[in-house]
Amino acid sequence: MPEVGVLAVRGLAGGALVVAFALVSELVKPKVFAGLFASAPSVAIASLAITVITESATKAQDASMGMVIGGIAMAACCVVAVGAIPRLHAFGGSLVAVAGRMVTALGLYFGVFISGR
Amino acid sequence: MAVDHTAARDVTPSLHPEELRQIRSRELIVRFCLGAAVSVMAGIIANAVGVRFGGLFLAFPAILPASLTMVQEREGTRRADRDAIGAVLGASALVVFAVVAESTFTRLNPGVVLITSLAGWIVAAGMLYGLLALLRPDDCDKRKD
Repeated sequence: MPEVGVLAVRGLAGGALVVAFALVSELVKPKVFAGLFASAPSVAIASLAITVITESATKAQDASMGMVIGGIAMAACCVVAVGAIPRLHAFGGSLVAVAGRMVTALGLYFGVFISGR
Repeated sequence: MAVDHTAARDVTPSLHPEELRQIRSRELIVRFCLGAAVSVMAGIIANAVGVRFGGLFLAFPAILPASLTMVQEREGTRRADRDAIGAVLGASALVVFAVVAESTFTRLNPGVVLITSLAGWIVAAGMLYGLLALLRPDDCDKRKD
């Protein structure tokens, strides 16, 4: 399949799974439990499935390894999010958390995979 | 005698299909577009830099700011804050999804891998929620939503 076609399928699958988990989120209570589904692995499932179909399971395993680093960075930024959201409200607090996550993820990635070479 | 501090609270998750009526199509469209954009971005980065680097973005909650803003607009800051706490727990559970996927992709059928990894995420997210309900039951009380 041409590269643009693969990206389009990846986008459609990712968007559809995000909507599916958003619907589950609207159906459940309490609100904290519903919030779990805002961070469901929707993009990951779509992307890994497309990677397996268009490339190989080895490539998907490699992507999962990068995702482990991304996930650890996200967990490390929990403290930032919990502290920032009550002070900066939803949008500002979550933007700070996402920015902090990005910096941590890049630091871990370069520390583990680049400097270790 | 031990005092049960959770007695007056309702922290048990429950299904509420009637809530579907409150969903606005605009919100679903925004979420679809953001999910599609993040997936495409992860694909472009994987092609340009490498599959492993692209993997960093598979655990990227890019739809979080928009989702929380929509909840805040619709239901107020208090609910958005509670939604955010849950989202942070869900994002932390993504580590389990990734570890299960990474350790099984070359050994099992890819479909089985994705289902097992999702099951791992559900169990981890559920356990984190249970821990929060135990430690901070007020944050998980349905009556205070």
